[in-house]
Amino acid sequence: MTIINAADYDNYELLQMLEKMPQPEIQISHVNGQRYIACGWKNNKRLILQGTVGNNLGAFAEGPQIVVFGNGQEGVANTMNDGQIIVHGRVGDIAGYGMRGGKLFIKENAGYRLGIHMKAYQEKKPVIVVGGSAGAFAGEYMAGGTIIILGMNSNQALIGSYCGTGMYGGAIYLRGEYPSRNLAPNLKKEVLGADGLAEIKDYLAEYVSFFGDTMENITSAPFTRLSVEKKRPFAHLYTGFVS
Amino acid sequence: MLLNEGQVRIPSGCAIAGIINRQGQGFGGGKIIDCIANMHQRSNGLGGGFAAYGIYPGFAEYYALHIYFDCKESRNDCERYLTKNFNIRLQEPVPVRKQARVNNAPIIWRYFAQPKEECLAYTQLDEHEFTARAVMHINAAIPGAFVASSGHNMGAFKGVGYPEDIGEFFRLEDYQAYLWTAHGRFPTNTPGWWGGAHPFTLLEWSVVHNGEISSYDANQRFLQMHEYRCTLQTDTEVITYSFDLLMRKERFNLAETISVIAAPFWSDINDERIKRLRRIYGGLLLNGPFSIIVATGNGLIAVNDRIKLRPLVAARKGEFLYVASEESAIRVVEAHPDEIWSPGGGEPVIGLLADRENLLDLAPHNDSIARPA
Repeated sequence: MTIINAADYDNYELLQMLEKMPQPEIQISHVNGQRYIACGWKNNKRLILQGTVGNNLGAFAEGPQIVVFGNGQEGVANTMNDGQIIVHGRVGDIAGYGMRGGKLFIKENAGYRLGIHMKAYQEKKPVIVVGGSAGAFAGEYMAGGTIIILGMNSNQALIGSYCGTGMYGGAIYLRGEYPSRNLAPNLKKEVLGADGLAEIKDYLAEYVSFFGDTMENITSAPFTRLSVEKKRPFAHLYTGFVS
Repeated sequence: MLLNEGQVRIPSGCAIAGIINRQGQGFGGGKIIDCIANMHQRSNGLGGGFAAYGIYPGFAEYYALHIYFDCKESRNDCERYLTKNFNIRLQEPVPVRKQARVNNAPIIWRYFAQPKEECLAYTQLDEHEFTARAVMHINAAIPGAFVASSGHNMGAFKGVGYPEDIGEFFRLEDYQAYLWTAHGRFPTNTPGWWGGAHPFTLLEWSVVHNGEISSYDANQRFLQMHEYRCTLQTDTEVITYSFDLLMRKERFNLAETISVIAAPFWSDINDERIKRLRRIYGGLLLNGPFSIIVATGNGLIAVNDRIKLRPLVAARKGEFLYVASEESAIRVVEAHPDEIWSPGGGEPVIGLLADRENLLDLAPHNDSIARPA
């Protein structure tokens, strides 16, 4: 594996160099705020980052596997198409913004607007798993894909306000207790036992394989599945007509 | 020839940072410069600045006026006005280090001054109000002059350039402050000029801001009714004056002030008193996306707009509190904080000196807005 010390380069040089490196596996130490790492990458490289990674990590990426030992900032997996990002820490706001494929695993908390405007199409199904809590507006305008919020080891409420506002597709899974006043109105809520988790079992197993903990512990609390009742829930939002 | 702003466009967003030692121990400007320099990409070279508290202990009882002048005539006009109204203990140029990346600097002086007794007696104003109005007068009526800062034992150092270059220009390593704030600017709707750089100050207040105050005009009209004149062509100015009005003049506490400027949605307000404040001071709601750091000699608060449309991270390490737009800016000066977190929208991070309880030390007013029984 090739090892780079991010402190030796300025942000632009680092990105230029990474772009040209042919190695399939690269480790970067001392990352601290460098933006746009793996942005737009269309390859299957494996990238291991140590430190606090700057904004838009893996934005528009299609394929790479990125592991962060540290925290992410804003826009992790922004509009990501494919690949996998695993953060052994917390992330800032708008993680998974407009994500349309691939998977994002976060060990601790996510900031505001997690997975806002995620979407799915045919075989492209984005997935976000958050080990801790998520800030306000999680899943706002969500059109497709899966968000799972586990609330393990978090001392704050599972979700912030306005969760699922304007949602018209996809599903949000909440583990255990959550403040129901923080949910947008008109969401379909189903409480699931361990046997109702077939759809997300593989994702939970992946979470366990990355971050430890056990499947028994995770499934020891009931899950609530949030989705939308109607196909086009906002068709009449502004017109007032009911057809 | 260099292209002016408007002829080139460099997309980015502002950066803010603040550090306080809660025991009041001073430290040099190097730390805050490292902090803000780590977010270099958030600014575009059209503004950088710092506020420093505790830097003039030898003149602590004087208002330290940092004033920028376009030309000698402006300085003469301004000094004529100052000597008429203030006793000036010392006046001198603010020491700077010329450097290639900071150009077209104005003439920058500082004055350690106290309002003249006879002027206070004649105007029937307390010395804070007298000085605040003098600042308004200089900014509005003396062409080519504006006041960069006017508080006790503090100063603002700001200009057009990247913040790290502005810090070097003003020799900030030579100052010892227990509280520093910093700003790297990416001007959005208003010109990048020396007066438009952050922090925006009045008396001991300073504000650095990332975002946009889209309610600027409504706010400045409201402030106009209370003797504030917005002359610096930038939205952030209204934040400084809103805090000054609510806390110094109206004497509301911090929670009440925050409930006005970053008010929750009406449906989320349960407290009858907060509802009344919201009705009366609706004109001071700061609408739009923002994260700000507001400081006084007593400490700092950092707060977001109510739905958190700009980033903000806070960390604690021993007696130090750090706030910044990005976590990396904190890590660069404190790799292993005791605690690091992202505050929610409208939830202030408060870092006061250990022996202080509020941002200002004023006695509360007779309360004109009754608390419900």
